[in-house]
Amino acid sequence: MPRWGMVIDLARCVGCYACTIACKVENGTPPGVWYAPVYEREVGSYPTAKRLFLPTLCYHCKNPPCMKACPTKAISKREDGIVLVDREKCCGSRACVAACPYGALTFVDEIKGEFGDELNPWERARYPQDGVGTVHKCTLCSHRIDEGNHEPACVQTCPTHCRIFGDLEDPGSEVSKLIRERNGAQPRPEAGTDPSVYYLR
Amino acid sequence: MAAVTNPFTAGTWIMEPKPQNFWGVPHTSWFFAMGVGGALFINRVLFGIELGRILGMTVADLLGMILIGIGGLILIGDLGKPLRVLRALLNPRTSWISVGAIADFVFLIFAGLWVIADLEWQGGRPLAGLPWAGNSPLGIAFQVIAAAAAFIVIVYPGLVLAASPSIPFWNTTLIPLQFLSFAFASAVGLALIFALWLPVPPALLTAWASAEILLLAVTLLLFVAHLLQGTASHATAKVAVTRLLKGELHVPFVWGTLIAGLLLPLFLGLYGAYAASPAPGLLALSALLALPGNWLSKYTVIKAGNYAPFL
Amino acid sequence: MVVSEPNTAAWEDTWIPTACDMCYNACTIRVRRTNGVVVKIEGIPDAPPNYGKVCAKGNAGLMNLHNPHRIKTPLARGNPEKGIGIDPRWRPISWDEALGLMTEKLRAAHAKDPRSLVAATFDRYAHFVLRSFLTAFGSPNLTTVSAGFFCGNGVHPVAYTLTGSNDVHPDLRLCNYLLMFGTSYGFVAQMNAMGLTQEMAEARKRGMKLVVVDPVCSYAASQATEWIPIRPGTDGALALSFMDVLVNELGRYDVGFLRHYTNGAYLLGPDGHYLRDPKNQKPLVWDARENRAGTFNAIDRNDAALEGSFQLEGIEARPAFQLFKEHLRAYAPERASAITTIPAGTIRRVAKEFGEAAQIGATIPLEDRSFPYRPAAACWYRGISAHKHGMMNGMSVGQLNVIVGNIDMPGGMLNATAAGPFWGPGEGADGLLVSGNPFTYRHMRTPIPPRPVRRPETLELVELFPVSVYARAMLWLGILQAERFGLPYRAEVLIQCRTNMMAASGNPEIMAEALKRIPFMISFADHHDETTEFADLLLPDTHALERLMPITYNPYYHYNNATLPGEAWSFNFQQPVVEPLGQARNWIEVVLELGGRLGILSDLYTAFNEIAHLEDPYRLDPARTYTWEEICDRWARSYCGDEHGLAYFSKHGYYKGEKRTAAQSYPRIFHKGRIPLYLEHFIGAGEDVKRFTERERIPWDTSGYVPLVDWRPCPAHQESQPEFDLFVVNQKLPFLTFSFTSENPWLTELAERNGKVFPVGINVETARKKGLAEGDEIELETAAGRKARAIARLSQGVHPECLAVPGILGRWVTANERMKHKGIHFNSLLEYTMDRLDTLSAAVDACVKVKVSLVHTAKEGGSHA
Repeated sequence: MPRWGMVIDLARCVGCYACTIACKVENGTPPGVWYAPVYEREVGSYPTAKRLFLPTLCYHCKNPPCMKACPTKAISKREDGIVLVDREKCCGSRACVAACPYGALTFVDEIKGEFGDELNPWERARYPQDGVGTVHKCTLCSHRIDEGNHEPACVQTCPTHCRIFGDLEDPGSEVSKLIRERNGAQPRPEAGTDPSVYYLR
Repeated sequence: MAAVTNPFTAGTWIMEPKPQNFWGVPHTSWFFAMGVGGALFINRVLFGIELGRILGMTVADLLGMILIGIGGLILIGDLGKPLRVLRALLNPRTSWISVGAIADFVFLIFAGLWVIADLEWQGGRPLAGLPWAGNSPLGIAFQVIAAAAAFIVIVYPGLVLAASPSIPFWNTTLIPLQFLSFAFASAVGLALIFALWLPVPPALLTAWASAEILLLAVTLLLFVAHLLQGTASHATAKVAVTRLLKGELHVPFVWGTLIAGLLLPLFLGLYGAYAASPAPGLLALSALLALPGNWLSKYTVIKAGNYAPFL
Repeated sequence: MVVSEPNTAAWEDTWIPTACDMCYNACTIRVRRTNGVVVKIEGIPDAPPNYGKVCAKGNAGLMNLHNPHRIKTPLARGNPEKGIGIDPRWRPISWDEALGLMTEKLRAAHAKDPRSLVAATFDRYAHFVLRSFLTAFGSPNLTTVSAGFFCGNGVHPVAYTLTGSNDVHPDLRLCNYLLMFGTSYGFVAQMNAMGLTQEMAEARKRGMKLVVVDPVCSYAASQATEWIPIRPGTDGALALSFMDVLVNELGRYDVGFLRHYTNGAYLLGPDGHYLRDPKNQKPLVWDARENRAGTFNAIDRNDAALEGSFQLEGIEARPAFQLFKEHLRAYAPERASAITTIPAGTIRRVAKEFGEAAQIGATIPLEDRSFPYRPAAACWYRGISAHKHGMMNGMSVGQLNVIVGNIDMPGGMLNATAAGPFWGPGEGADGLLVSGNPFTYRHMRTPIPPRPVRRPETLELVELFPVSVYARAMLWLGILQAERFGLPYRAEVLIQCRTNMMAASGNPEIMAEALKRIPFMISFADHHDETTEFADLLLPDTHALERLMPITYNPYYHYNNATLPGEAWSFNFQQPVVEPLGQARNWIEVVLELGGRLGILSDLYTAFNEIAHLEDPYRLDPARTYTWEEICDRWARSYCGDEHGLAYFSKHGYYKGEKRTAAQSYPRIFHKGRIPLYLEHFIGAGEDVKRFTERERIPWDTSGYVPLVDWRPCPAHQESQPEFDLFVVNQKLPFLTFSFTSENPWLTELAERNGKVFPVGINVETARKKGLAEGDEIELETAAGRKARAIARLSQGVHPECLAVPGILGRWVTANERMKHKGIHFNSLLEYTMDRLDTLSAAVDACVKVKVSLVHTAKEGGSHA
């Protein structure tokens, strides 16, 4: 069984935000909900300052605190490591929002249109059912993977090959090699969550 | 903008600790109410601290059930899908919210059934014939179950915070212990306040006062321990400690919780209990100060919670 | 389970290949339509130029399609008064009525003077049809305004001079050291944004050193090996200083390249002109072996003297390179340092690194042939072009490439239109390189040979710019001052589509005056913007996902999608994915219908055959009438072969042709024409302009027509009032380019979350000196009294003398309320007068200084943008 994961090569990211938007369109996330945000920070001092970019997503932890915290068992981990929220079961307690060390979950208590109260045709077609009063989270585009080995939308659109998708269990996969060769680091390892996403500097 | 809750929505990369922004006054009130309510009930069961009787039942039972009920209503009202509250009972194995919700229901059911059987009506107990009434074996069992549930109700909010690795300052068993000791301090404190109107023998009053003093002292020590542990354990928790001691939470925490809510009641209690041989007024004042101190302690600890940089 | 599928059961779910329209690059995309609704946009992995990659804007494109505030019916102006912020009082009318009105207005204009029709668009190949319409109508006034104000003025003439093509770009696959001046090339900006972003990422990974010269630590500078902050408008001095170090201090320059491929050996007389063979008038070169002069094409290039001083029949003759070399001495690093604020040590170090990386003398085998290998390049764009001396700035960076011999060589700076089947640069007068691209000479003008100056006939006054490729920025001055420039007619009708010039060109107040002078303005648009506010007739255009538009991406003509070395030529198509909204119509089809109503269709077809370069049997028969589909079909077949017509493109979306060979990719060693390092042709061109403008009493600066490139200050550098001490620098954002991208709520939210888009960046130390803190609301004021307000963002990534203002913001008419009045509209701070225009390239000077004052502090609670 594979364990799907991602390697994010920070040296490659140019802060274009293509992943962030591709994800939004792919997953039909409501206004204000972003599964794959890129954080931008200025570091250093003049004249050696620079912007750093940190692409993120749900890290699909092997040991997901969100899943433990959920009182309704709405969060589950698939055999391939993908952690999913089932909004039909979610009661909106937000325990998961609090429990995640990475801010990967977003609670939605109202959905208005991007252009005003009325939804446009895309919004009517794409905003999820059970979207209000529940928690939303990156699915690693499990639906794409299930359709036949597609990459997640953020990976598909990334022009710098900064987001790399693959099987962490397969020692020969590109992600495994990169983690080995370039000392891939998990975010906040001391939290004991064992994320399926590694960063390369 | 759609109304969304996400700790990181504001957008900047978490390179330094970032305060959590989704728990506040409602959660504080919920945790506070459940703690005090649970402790009132347990004190009644174990130590017979009834606080008088009203509507055919002890004030302690009634107030305990009301407070826990209010806590439960806040919990339900806070759900995104309140109608799905029963689903929240499904995951007690790992979710403290789920455990708490179950305990909440168990308490209300068993305490409620027992109290109903024990109701006084026009000088009699019309339902005393029920098998679990009074101190029948089943009645004792009901009370024990309700008390056990009440105990869980007191500590589970603290365990919700403590179980999560997300916020290092919360990630410690000191929090449920604080909740526990402060809850009992408040419950005993209510007894001291009610004692102003009730005939309480001085020896009992002194005993309660001693318990109150002990609980406040333990709570104070737990907070000191929490601050020390926060400073030592994690850079992010250290920032939380700084925010509590010197930052924007300085007034409600240092003045509201530590000084007005713990130290001052402690001194008033000591003075009232031992120096001037039981001074009910001072003891009640001590207890009265500790109540908002309890609320503020939860509020400030929740507000101080902050996320650690994740890379 | 997880809901990510559309909510309703799908009765239709299909992917349609087409081309993106969220910027100029026309990436190939496929669009998912489910139950009649466009739900997703994605790249096609095998499809050039973007190979499956789509940027934030492209991914977000469908939200522009679904904007409920789009224009749905033809609208007629009800308010005769026009101006910024004046309600046009739109009144819906029928298409019939609109077409009747247009026909009437155009007939009247034609009767007055056919040239009185002006048309403006930035709609890529739609302009082939529009130009044909204008040609048939009899007007030369087609313009692309918008980006043409700033964009390639200091780029295209230099690119033609160096390569004979419209653009130049570094060879990212082989280059090891890339210097970038005022551009975010390869960082989701500029030409072929998505293709080159992939290449840039791989090049950086490969170890290519990237040095970015920019007043602001841009997205590119952030991932560069080194960011070199520079005072705005001084890049030319830096490039000249790099050359001084290389030539005069290190002696590191490509002698062979200069001898073979430049006019460096051409002998000059004391007057600065070529010395010519009296018999054939050809320039002379000194033969160092024979110790005598001979015509440039008669002696062995290896023997040509680049340096020295020779006597030729009593006249002192010196090779051009000798003068060039001496000229560079004026740009010693110490002097350049005072101009640019870059330490002299840094200048010397970077020059040395660049020179060493060029590996002068090295060769590389490609396809069984040895090529010179020069893996160092210097590229530049708008940042250094948009200045009073934009042409010189561009030329100085261009020449930095020439002296290390990297032009059209592996690893160096390459032409961007090389060796398409229609193209081949040749050798012109005096042995110089001239463009041979038929598209180029039909659509652009080339600087070599300089065009004779004549009385302006175009409103852009391009006749007064003999070495530019266009003069788009002059349009409004031509309209406002037609009399002064001796134009024999006045603008009567303006047709405008997909160019929001009021937001994206010069100063809007001045442009508004010009727009008001045009009696009848027709706008096609899918949403209201700052420009359509001035229209008399506003017609609903289709969104790109609703229309058929062929050859959006065309590397034969179009420089912006440069086919990389070894890559295949390719074309793509826009095709309708959904039905047009309301009464929207593809504007180019309306233009064709107008042609029919005006009775000029056969002339239009004849012109189109030439302009689009259609070949038999696909040329249009002037005696027939064609549907738009038929025209597109012929167009496609003519370019891509008989089997690749409309049906092919409808199915596949793009067509890939032959791969570029090494010889096509690196053609320098096959070209005969030489690159003028010494711009001798500028002397005559300048004299020509001077003669004409003096005779006509038109005040005109001709001092820039010098053969040796200099750095000259912009007016802003010379302003003496000390309180105007900060330059405002406009800066690129990868997710908001072109005004219409800010119509998109997702991109708006990105900007809001980013936090660095709407505020103005100011150096931390500068802010400290001025007593400004993060979040303070400040006012910017230029010496001319133009003002803007914004929130201060303290930054370590801004030159201390600068304020960083990103994007095209501060929108005042938009279909996205959330974007209205957010951020600063940079162009509103600029002056748009002759003293701020480059009279060589027609670039508008974007160098502007402001004084900053505190409106209120962050604590007082400013109106946080």
